[in-house]
Amino acid sequence: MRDFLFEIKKVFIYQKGAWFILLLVLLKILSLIILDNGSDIRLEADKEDYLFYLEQVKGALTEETQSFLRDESGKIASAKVKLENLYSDYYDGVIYNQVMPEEELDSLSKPFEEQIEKEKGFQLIYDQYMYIRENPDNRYFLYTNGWNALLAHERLDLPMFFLLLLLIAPMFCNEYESKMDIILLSSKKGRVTLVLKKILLAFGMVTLLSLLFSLVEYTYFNFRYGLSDGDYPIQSLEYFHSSLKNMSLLGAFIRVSGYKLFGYLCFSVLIMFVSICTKKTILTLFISTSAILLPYFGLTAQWIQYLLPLPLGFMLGSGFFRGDKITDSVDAIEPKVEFRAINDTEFKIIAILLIFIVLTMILVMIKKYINFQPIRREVQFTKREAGEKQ
Amino acid sequence: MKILIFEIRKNFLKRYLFVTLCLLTLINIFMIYDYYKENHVFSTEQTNRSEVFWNLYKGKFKGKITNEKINALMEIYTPLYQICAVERSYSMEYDPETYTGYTFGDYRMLDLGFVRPMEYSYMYRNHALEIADKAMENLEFFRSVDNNYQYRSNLKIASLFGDRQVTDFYHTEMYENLFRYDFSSFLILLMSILALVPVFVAEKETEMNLILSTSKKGGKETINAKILSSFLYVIIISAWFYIFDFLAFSYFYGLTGLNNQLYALKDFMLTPLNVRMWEFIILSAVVKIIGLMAVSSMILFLSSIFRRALLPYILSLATVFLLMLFNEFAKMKFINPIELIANRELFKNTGFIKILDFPVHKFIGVILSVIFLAGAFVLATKMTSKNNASLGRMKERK
Repeated sequence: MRDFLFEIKKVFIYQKGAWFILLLVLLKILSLIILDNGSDIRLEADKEDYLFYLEQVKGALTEETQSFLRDESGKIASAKVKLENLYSDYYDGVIYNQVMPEEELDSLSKPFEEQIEKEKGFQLIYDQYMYIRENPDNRYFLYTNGWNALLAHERLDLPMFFLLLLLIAPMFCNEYESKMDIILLSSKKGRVTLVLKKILLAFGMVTLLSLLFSLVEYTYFNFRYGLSDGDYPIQSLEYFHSSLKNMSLLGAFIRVSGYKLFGYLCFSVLIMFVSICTKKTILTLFISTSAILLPYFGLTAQWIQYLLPLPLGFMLGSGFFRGDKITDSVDAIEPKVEFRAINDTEFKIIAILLIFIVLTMILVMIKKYINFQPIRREVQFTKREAGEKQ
Repeated sequence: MKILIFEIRKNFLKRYLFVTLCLLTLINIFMIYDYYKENHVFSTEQTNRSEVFWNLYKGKFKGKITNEKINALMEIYTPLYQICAVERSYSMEYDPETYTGYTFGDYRMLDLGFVRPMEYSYMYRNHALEIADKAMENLEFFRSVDNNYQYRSNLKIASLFGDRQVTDFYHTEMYENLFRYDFSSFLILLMSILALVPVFVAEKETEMNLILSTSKKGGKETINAKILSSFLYVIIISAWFYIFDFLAFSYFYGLTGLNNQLYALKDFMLTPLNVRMWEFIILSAVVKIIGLMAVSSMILFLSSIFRRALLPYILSLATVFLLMLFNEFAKMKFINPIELIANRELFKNTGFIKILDFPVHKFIGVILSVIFLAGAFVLATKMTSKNNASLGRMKERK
């Protein structure tokens, strides 16, 4: 137990892990504030009127809500016409010298103006209605900004990405670079136990940090926009419009968080594996960042990144729940597939393959860490011996 | 000179760099293939549509736009247009009489491949003349109100656009996509980070910096040699990747019309450059390399201030991301090297900045500001490594 504490002390204090965590959590919050582009500005601009209507239609589309929306739309249209008539009457009166008193005009026009003022908010609800009408079974009325900001993107969480590199890469690389590995190997608990403890510590940190980052995201968007109605189906968001998955918004968020945790764990194994194989910080960093960033930035067909047996797909998460997206433009000869849904069988294959790869990596890693040095010496020795004999 | 060769050998002639270079080159070609699969209309592959297109293109319409060619094209296009776009009465059945097998397919092929681009090329002269005429009209006005700067910039616009015309018709799909492709620059950045972070750090990790600072040429000369060799490395790597880009794009999309005017591309309708395609390919690569060198100078600076590889690597990568982010969101376009690395936006529009009442092309301003930034970082690198060296000496004396 005591050496576990030493290991923790080394990571958090000597390798400045605690500072990095603090700094990058702050950066994460900052990036949430600055790069918050999941929101629809129109919803925020006319929030009051929008919420007024939303209160009355919230949830699934029913006959009542449908007739309410139709009535309301009729009311606004007729208010517009009546107001126009009123003004034209007023100006006619001005011309024919029978001026309507201004107070009378005000009192007559006021109800119509109030009705029309809400038009922008109503238009937003009506747009949502047009979307929901296509498939009313699994599309509900709800306030979308919060959930969109939380779920409807496939962005790599760069602060978490950098934090993992900063914490995990030095765990083995520092031992190699300060040549401590040889001394450690000769010590009593410096072999299998040490590697296992290091891996365990890494897993513990990654789990806590991943949960912390998910919690930070959830709390921030809950505070900023509000995340009510988590039990509505994910198809209520346009981003998941063609999704075949049957789950609620909150369920999707919990699963995305779980996938992210799994992805980060795999990523940390990758980092440790490479650091034991190469024994150099720079190569460790390069290979592990490339494994994530090259498919992330390079692939034109975005959905392929979910089909690769790499941690990347799980680190992004949301894409597993998306449905097909096909766009057709005037300038293209054929309709273009922008996203192809990942079906359950594919998901299972990828997950199992990745688990298999990760387990292999852990085994190879342990074996390499313990055995590497003596074997090489033996080989050198026998070679020299062979030379002498000749 | 010798010291430069030693530095190159020490820092850049490494096995893992060669392996990485080969791997990334392969990845780059694969990504170009992936990009091409997603963004192509007429390929060099043996599909029915492409084959017909290339036969028509090479056999009939390529080269100088003449009245005969236009008439020949309209002769086959007009009836199809009538059926497919006006009456909408085309048949969905396979028809062996047609080029592609289907009437609508023929219409789309002719429309996208020949009619629209040829119309654009033919009309470009009028469009450019209109702009030049407007500028000429403005001249009178700005002279009357004594606005020298506006007068001069309008004069420049008039002379730039005055005699532009696209006389030839070439298929431009390859160039459109080549100029939109940025991934190879990202790979170069990754390779620069991989190779340049250890340039100063490695000396400190092996504690060679103490010994170096005591040697005759271990101070200024070594630092200069390190910086120079790093820049050479970036230039060579970039040239390597950009040559492969060009070859791969020519292979997948089909190379034709290298001598065509740059403004024959719709994206570059308002470009300030009166250059040909091949000239722009070289120019764009040079501008990209300047941007990459500026980023490299930042990496070198980071390498010179840290003692271990971890932080400068992470910070270099973070810097690249931050610059990319700024390029996307911020209005201020100067100083940012990414603006040069993804340079099509820079050359898309003609714009001027005002320097002492004279209009200077905006892209020149951006390039100069980035060079200035790179210079500042090189200077900072020199200062910090010099300080490190003297600090090392002081510690030694103690």
